[in-house]
Amino acid sequence: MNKTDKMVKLNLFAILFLLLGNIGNSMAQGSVIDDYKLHQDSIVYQIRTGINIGGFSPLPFPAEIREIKGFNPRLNFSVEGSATYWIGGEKRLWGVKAGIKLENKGMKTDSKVKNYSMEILGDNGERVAGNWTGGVSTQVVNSYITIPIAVTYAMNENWGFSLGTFCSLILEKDFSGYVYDGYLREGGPTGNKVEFREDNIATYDFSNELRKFTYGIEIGSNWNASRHLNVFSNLSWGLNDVFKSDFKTITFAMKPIYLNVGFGYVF
Amino acid sequence: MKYILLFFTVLFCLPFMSCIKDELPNAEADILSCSVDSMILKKDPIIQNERVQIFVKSFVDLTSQAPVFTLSPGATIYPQSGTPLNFTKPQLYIVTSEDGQSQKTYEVSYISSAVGSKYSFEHVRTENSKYDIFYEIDDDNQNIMDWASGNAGFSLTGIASKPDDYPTARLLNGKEGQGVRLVTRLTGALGATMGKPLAAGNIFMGEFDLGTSITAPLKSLRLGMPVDFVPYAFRGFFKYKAGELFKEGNVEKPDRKDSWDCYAIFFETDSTLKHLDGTNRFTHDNILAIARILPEDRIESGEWSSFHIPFVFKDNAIIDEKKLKDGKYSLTLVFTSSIDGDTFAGAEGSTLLIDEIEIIHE
Repeated sequence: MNKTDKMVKLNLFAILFLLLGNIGNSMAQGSVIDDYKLHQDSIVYQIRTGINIGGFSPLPFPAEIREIKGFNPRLNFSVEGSATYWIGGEKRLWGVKAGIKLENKGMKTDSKVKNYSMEILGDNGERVAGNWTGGVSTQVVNSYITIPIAVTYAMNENWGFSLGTFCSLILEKDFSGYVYDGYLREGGPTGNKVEFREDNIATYDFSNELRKFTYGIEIGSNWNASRHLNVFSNLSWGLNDVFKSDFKTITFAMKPIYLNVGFGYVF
Repeated sequence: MKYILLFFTVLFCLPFMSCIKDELPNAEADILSCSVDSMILKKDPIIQNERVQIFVKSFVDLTSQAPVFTLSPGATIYPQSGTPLNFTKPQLYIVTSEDGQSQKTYEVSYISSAVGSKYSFEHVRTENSKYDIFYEIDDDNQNIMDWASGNAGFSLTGIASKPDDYPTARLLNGKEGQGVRLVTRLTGALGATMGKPLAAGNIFMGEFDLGTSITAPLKSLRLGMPVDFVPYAFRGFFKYKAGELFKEGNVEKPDRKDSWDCYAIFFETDSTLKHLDGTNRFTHDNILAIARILPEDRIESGEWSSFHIPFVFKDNAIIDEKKLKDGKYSLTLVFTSSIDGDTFAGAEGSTLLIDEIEIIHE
């Protein structure tokens, strides 16, 4: 991560906290109009912090993937501010929730593939297509600003559930890795064969091929420990390929599937 | 925290682990090896991606030969391995992969003519519509030897878009007819990631083993072809222009100037030494004679200049006539546009042109 990226990230966190600060203020100010007050009371503000555990994965796995030799979900943090509008006054059974979330989604995998069709692009437009059999190590470190919108349902005092959608804008991106210990067949399964052993690796970096916008669905639950504190888990499932549609190197769609778990504080 | 992570990792991975699908049938259609009676062989067969060359002694009857092949797992071959065929002309074999999706046609030839001693480089084909391969023919116009080069390796850098972009290419206006143009080229981003930032133009008598060219570049030069003569001098014509900026790997060395190189080595093959390679080409005990251009003769020249290099025989070198007849003696010629190209040192743009090469023999 370079310095500018870090700055961008810090700034965004600052904006988020300012936003939340304002919410607090406006709440404290109270209101003069009853009607407005009623609505105001129906809106509940919350901040959440948590971790993202998951991966970018094709589903189902293509047959070219023969083995997952290693998987490290990395430590991905998330922070979210949201507002929930509860319908039905005092009962508060159903609500609509919208938020803004800063989150990292990353992973590190080590897999073994067989006859896996790929194309490597060099910085100066070099282009080598072929079929790879052997090891593939992939690292993803992405951060996103995400807008989740969900319908919430409070089952009882303690348990709540939500179902919704999200869209994400990518802020920082790294999708890179290397191939090792195997062989490449140039152009296809019958092409010229060249081996890679031991120290020989070929690196790749597909960061610039990542799509800016991703969207998906999410399903969540939370358990209220007290009026203010809760723990939550939220499974988000990307629906579009993380790569641009004209990106042909990875022949199957990779989608982010992440479980977000953490603590929430309700104002 | 660690345990929570571990727990969720396992939880998350479980459905994926069980998702590994059954392995697909093999998609490859290779001839992996070729065996024929070793009594008739002059040298081990050369198996390339679409070509098998079997070098046999001159007395061998080619009208009925039945080579036996091993193939990629599950692949099939037509005509069947071991079928007697008439190899006075090359035969085509079709290999079909286990999954039935890929097919590859191999040209299999038995070569009983020994390689000649004059090389004019008039015969060139474009391999896979990518790069040039020079070859020698016999009196029946049959290909009896491909000149080897590192072009197949350069193809993997993705830099070249036409044959002229390769380090080894045809020169339309040679000394007489066509000649060879060798140019030291940068290998770009992909070459650099494989630790091979530069490729010298080269052409040699032998075989370039692309398969091991990344793992063991020096070993991938398999030098030598059987000859039926004893050489005493090596001559030909060249032009040379060194590139501007010398580099050792990625390090610029402005005080060094690039130079070309050419040499010929005559050696004996036996059960342990089938060919020389980049690690032992000047030092192996089986070497009988070496002809290498002297440092003071490796000059730059804008005009066709001639060179003439005598073979220097070892004091104890004895030539056995029977072995000579059986193809036990091999010869290699090597030309390169950068003398230290093997270790990825040289200057981009160094250009060596050669033509009308001849081995003078008794």
